[in-house]
Amino acid sequence: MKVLIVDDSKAMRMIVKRTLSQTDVGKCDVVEAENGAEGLAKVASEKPNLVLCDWNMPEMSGIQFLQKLRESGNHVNFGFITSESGAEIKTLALETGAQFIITKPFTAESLNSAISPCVA
Amino acid sequence: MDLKQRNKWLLYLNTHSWQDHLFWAGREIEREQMIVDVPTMDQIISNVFDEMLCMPTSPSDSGLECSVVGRIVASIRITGAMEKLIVVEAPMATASLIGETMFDAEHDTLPEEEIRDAVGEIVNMIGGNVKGMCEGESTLSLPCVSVENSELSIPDGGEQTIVNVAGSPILVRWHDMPVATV
Repeated sequence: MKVLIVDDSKAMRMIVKRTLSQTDVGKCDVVEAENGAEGLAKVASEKPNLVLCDWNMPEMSGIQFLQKLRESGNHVNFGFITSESGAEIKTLALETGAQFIITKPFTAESLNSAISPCVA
Repeated sequence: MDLKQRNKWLLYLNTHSWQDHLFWAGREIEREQMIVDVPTMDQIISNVFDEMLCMPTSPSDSGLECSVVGRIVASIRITGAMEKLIVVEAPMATASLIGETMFDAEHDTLPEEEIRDAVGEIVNMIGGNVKGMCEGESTLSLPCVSVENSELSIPDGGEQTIVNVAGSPILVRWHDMPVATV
């Protein structure tokens, strides 16, 4: 299992990586990117099974990243982990093709229940 | 009635029809008021530190030392239906502790850049939760983080709370209207 974590905060990438290891996924290959543009390149080169992505990032936001992925025909499992918590954000994310959206702060339990259907 | 009171009254009239309530974090918040009071902010801060970082929070009996220098100041703006500036001020020792917890790093080993990143993510999470209390469409900015070596100076207006995080204080302040400087 390979997971791509996309977040402009190195601290948050560390937390997501650490929390991921506490879920049923357990140990997995983790690759990282700092924004959507870098994420696009990493999806192409690393072919992850799951993308965990922030919403607000410089250069290319998470939703732009997802739009470009889906436009290119890529249907990799994709979930947002973001501070954004509005209903309109959630609707946009799901309509664009995200499998889930988790609001920060989050726990291993909430991450586990969100990613479980994607990794089953 | 002065202009500020008038604007608040107009805002109330405009939002009075919002009869929905949001049950959030164990307490009910009336969306129609869009008020972020101190107990609400304390709950948000507690959720960020206790729930995700396992850093216990408690109310601070004393203020943040006014003479404190060498602190990390992180701010974030919410614009749109909600207009707020949220600022986290953390003395360097507290900021380092937060950074070390987030990075799972040894004491005194983190470079300043990573400490800034950690505090920036704290204000980002607090800002996102505050924004989530507003029904209308708003935008959350990217966090802005700096190191301040001047004496702590709190602008007039707005509200603030001081919370101990794992025994070390942070100050969180928020303003209803955008201000020119942090």
